[in-house]
Amino acid sequence: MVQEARAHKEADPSEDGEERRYPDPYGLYRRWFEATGDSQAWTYGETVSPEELEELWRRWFETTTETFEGGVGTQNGLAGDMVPLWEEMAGELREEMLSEGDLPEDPIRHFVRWYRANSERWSEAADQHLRKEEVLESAGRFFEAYARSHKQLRRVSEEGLKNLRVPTRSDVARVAKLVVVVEDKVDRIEEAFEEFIHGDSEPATAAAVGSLEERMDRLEGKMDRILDALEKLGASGDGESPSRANGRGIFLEDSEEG
Amino acid sequence: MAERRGALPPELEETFEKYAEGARIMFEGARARTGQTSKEEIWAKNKARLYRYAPGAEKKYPVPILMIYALINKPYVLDLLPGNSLIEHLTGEGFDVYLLDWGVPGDEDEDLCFEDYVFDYIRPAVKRVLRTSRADEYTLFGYCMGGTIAAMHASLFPEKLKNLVLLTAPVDFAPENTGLTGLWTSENRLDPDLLVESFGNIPSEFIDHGMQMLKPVTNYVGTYATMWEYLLEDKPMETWAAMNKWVKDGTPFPGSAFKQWIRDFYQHNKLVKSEIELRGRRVDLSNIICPLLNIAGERDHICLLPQAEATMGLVSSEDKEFFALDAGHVGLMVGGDAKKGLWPKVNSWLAERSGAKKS
Repeated sequence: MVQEARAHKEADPSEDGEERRYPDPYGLYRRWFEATGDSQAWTYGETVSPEELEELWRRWFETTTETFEGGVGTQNGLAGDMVPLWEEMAGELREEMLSEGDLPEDPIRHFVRWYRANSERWSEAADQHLRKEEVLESAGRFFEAYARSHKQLRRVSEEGLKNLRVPTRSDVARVAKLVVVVEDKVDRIEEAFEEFIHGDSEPATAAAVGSLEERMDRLEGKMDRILDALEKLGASGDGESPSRANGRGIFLEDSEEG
Repeated sequence: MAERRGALPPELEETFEKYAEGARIMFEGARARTGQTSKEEIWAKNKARLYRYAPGAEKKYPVPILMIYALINKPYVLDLLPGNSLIEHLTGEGFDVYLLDWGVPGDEDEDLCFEDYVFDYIRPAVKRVLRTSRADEYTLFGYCMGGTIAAMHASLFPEKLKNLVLLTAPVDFAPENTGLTGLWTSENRLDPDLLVESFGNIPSEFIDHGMQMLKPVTNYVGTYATMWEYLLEDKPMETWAAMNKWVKDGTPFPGSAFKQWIRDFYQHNKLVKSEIELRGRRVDLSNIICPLLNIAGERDHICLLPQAEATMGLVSSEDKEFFALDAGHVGLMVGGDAKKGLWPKVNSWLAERSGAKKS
């Protein structure tokens, strides 16, 4: 990137009078496009000699690999660590492609062949790199910073839109949540009906109703006996607490019935 | 321009056309008609859909199969292309196959978590499956995170579960077993609460890049090296295109479920310790007593082999089998190796345990 900055500088006098230089973000691409522009002109020209074609490929290839090297060379951490391997592999690729004496083969075919031969070495280096503590830490910090800035941006945007009385995604989500809740209630009703129709819920048979009636009768009988007992106690006035006396009676009766 | 093009030798013109096609795929993504096996929607809840495949076909086996996939990516990887689809294969063999598709969560689904999926989605889906197939028992088939969810469901509701098939289903999340994912998601490096506060649902691009960075050279370079090879050598590339489409066709990870996945599974490894609680009920995998087929890929970098293998020591099933294939996470599901490895294994194992009708 430093090289690019030198090649494509923007004037900006600093306080000490020296001209400040900034990297040109399009520098790498510009070089690549220059080469592809040449290639287009040659492609659509009337005649191309084998020498010219070889020269075209050479220029295209060298520009592309230089651009690639320049690009990765500007990266710190993640890509920067891989630069030596990439440079080594790019050098091998260039040598191999341009040293065959004849016209070089289609660069993409060549790349595929080269990739098959080198992918394992490359993958291994990438895997080792990604496991490094400093890389993991750097990635963790990056995600945290990214998430925090996104959170801030979201908050500010939502507040701005709220002031303008424009509904936000959160407002839409809140409404959608209400719809989901209503839908869920309808689903439950539908499910209950389906269970009834398909027999998942057992219908009340005559036997079941009869048994329930019997139990109700027994319960009623007990209640009557309790009331009778209470009345008798109230009339005799023997001083014992009605609740204790009747409670004992009821428990005895229950335990007897099992 | 057309005249100039006409002046080019035909081979060169053809090469340029291939370049143009390759560039188009790289920038726009591949196109493919995926998920073509006939299906019928039999139940829907929120964004989720329950499908029954080949509903009109004759069923040889009375025990239906309910398939569950992960909350990220779409489940059509199970029915990728005609001739390259596990679902098509199983329906062709006479199985009654259902798939619970989670759909694409919206912002309003940020609070969905695993207990919702188990209690409010899988449980009613099971009822629908049994009712539709008029069956008393079913097979639960979970793939990837869907396998982890299936195992949790199986431990909480073992009744009526005839068989459990887990495919690359991570269960043990001990740091030594989780590879790069474990390193990235460790407590001191990833705060899931912050991510969910910032994004709500975790964007699919975020998940996609995370997955691809597990094998960056293969995923970012190798994928396209393969594409160029197929294009330039005129090899059939339908499967590649379908896979490329699927990989890029992710779904957001619902915020609450993401938090649980990172905290409870990756950071605290609660599932193997029986410490996961869903709606107050403890998930204890030893409650699983049904026959279990547990399949993993030896070259899987998303669910590493020991993560899946650990299930074998946690369940109480007497009839259980661990089957490791020499394949990656997705490679075991589609392609030539799947047809020779995974499909016949699932087919034969289930055939013996799904009560084939006597002819």
